[in-house]
Amino acid sequence: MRRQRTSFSVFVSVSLLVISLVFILPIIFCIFTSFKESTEIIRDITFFPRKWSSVNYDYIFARGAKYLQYYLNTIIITVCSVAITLVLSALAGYAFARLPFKGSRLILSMILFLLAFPLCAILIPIYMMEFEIGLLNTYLGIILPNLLCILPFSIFIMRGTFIDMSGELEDSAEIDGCNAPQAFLHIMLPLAQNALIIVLVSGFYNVWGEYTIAKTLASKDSIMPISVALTLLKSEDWNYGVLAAAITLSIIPPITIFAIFQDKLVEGMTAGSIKG
Amino acid sequence: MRMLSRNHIMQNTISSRRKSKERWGRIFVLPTCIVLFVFVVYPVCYTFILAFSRYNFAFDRSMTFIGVQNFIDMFKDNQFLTALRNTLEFTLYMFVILIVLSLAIALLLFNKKKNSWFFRISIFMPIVVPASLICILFSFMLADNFGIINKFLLDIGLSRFTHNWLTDAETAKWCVIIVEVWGKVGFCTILFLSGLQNISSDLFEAAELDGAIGWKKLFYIIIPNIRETFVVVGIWAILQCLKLFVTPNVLTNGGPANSTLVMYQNIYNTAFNYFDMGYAAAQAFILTALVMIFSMLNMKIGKKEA
Amino acid sequence: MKKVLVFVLILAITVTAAFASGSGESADSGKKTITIGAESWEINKLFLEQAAAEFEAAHPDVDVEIVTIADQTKLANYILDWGRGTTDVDLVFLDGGIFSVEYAAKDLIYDFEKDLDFFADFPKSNFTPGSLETGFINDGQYCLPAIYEVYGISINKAMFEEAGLLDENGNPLPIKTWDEFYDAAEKLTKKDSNGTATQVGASIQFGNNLHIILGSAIYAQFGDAYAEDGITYNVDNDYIRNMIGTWQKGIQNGYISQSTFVDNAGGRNGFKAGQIAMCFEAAGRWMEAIDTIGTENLALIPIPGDFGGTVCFGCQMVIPRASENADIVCQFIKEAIYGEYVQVNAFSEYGKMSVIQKYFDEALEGTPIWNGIADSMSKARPLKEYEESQKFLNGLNQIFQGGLVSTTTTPADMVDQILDLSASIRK
Repeated sequence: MRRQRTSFSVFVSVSLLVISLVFILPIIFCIFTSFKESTEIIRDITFFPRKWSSVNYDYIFARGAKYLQYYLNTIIITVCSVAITLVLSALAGYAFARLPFKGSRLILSMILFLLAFPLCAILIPIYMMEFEIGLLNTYLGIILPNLLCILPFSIFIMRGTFIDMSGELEDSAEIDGCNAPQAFLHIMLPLAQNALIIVLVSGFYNVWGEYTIAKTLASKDSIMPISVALTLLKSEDWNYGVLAAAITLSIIPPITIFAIFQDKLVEGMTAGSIKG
Repeated sequence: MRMLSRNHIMQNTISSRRKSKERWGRIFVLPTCIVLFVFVVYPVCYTFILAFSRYNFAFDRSMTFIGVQNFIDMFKDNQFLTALRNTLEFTLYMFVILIVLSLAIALLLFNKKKNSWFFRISIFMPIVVPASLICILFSFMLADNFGIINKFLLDIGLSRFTHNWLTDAETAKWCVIIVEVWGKVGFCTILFLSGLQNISSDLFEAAELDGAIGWKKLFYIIIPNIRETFVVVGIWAILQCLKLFVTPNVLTNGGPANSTLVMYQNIYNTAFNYFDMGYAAAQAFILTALVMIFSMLNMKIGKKEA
Repeated sequence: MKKVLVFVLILAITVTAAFASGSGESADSGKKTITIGAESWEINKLFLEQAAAEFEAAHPDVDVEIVTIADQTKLANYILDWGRGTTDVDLVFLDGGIFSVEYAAKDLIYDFEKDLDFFADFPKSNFTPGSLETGFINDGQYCLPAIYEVYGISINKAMFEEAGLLDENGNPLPIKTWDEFYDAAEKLTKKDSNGTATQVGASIQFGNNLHIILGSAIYAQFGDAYAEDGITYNVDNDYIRNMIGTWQKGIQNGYISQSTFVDNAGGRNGFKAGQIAMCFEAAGRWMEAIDTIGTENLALIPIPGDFGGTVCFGCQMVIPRASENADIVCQFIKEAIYGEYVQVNAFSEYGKMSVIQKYFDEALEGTPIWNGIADSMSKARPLKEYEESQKFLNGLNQIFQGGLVSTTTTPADMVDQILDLSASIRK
């Protein structure tokens, strides 16, 4: 039995190692490429750079401190979108799951419709509308369409979670005289931590690298997020060295954050699992 | 008599409680409705009217109402039909691969509780790289002449396996699928992992005492207990698959010869390259219908088994 | 608590949003600002920053601001903005005249000749022959070319030597017909024992510029790219069927690279990497390969054909009617863009040919490789832009990418498809 366990855990570790390599090798290759000169990148390719060079980073940094601004824009847009999504999706998800009212099913199916609708088809009307009301080239003008993308799915996650929870706790809270917001805040929300983290990750995932909306609605440096700004580095064609440097720069902050908080993230997910 | 009045009172409180619940429900949903619907009412209605009109945004001065002509044209348009077929094909393969692979990885990670930070980070890493940049990176790695993958095959003496990965219609399809899965599987894994962690450990212990190990454990204990997760992952995967856009657009540009053209991309091209807004809007509604049908199917199946 | 949080958040966002939108519109008193929109490569290769600095030095009362355009889909936004009479740019650089058709159709941009009288103090005779016509759209000079490019075949002489395709003076043997092109490509291809190509004979740009490839090949033979109706590509003849046949054979035997099917830069990158011997694209490609291949190993040859001409296209400038600074912008074009610095350096550094004859001659002296196609450059003509150019280009791509690899589609079928396509689009 024990031997079987060990061989099983070896199997798990080895497969995980292989899978991890599949995911991480392209990124490591990209990081190495960012330190190569262009001749080395397209002729006689090797995995490791033969000569470390910072020429690609120089190219990017020569474009000045603008990049700090682009980062800041991405962070503002992502943080605001995700924060709003967390609050709104928890509230709405709870209402759809636990506080049904006349017309709630209709609203829910309208949200499903939004989830299904391809954004690119309404991009031009959105542009025209934002133009009219003066939202173009503002953070809010980018955050709102981003919400359109992430909020509906988040609501479905939250709704599913609240439906899954047993009603007993809530009922007893009601008997104690809690009203709906109190029951929601003090009892149900802490139990939904797990789902909130998923909403957070999925929101982050969708907004951080979002390109189509931002490209259409943000043309000023003061608003433009890094995902669009990096494509401005494209010359007639991508210089792969510069591209690799750009990718490396754009993934360093989120990976650092993830590396620091990954324990917490996993812990948080586990802590949510009181049900069962 | 006394009994009745007590019942009456109880009913009263229940109904007033329900009323209060309904009220709070409305209040809770209100901000979402404001954010979502106020913002899209105009664009969606506008698009809806467009779908029944001919309007080339660059050349026509105004819209012409043409009824359902756009929808009729669509099914005579080879480009659209190719895109539709490709979309469905991609959806089928990607959906299966995404679900199976992410569940497998989640199970592995679930069984490796200690010292797994390296695995976790590397598997979740693709989540933070912007999708468009991933594709450019892969197009560089998969290039015919100077791509590292062909170079690697040459170096280890497997030159007969080198291939024009992206310019051969068959392999281009699979390249799109693989790159897409590479970028998306991390998130599905997170979803499954959290679902797995929601299963109480008592259940596992009890199952193990009953002798349920290996595959048995998987099929009788694990899968039935993460059904809700399946529904969520399913919806997410369907959305990603049917609304596939960035990868074929950047990696293969829909080519070679439309073999990787998908619906979303076709809509985008129609709208932003041909400026044929009416036709693009009509196609958008077809795609919406597809997504809704598949998501509802997914929820129905999930519910039935529950 | 939560609600307070929401409230604070929304407040914070609105404030930042308002701040951000307000900060962009700080108006300088007395000083005029002209804003130029261009893609990143245009800013680099046309030395726009230097041009701006030069102009600002000569005109202290004018500020020149350059904004980068992410990609050409941005142009849809301009249609909307300009249609309403507003604009945040005064001068836009376009990747080709093809992109200006929409603006010209809706009359959103100035006609340089009729509206702005541009040539009154800047005569047309200043321009290199053929270059100005690249900006002639819908019967009007709606665009002005900043630079122009011609099509030609960049070759790797080291590979030619190895394949025995150089004469005793070290010059490439002439390639006069597409059959000769095919034979050369065959000789230039190297395969290992498994049949894997380690060096490919040629690349033809079957991608974003396919209409120029096709048009220039027709023009090089007949001296006119169009059939009798003056607008349809002259493809309905045996010469073109034979040409497409050699391309098809070349692709299927692995002598012509397929890279450009999905990646428009696949051919030039392969050429740069020293893996493709001949690159039929914009002729300036050889300059990009100087670092990796070396000037001594590079040469240019003209497109096969009896007439020997080539097609040119320009990087175009347009001024929206919504702009209030059209006169200053014209001044900027005349002094800075058509000034010596930009015109000479764009040519000698990046192969973007000068549209001003005297700088063209000046730059040409410094780069003798261009003389390989001097004759064909002197016969350069632009193609006509269709209204539905994008659709035409897309259709061509499908026909070629599908037909060239197919064993059942004959060149004659492909020509028929091109004719059908051509009949179906608005010109």
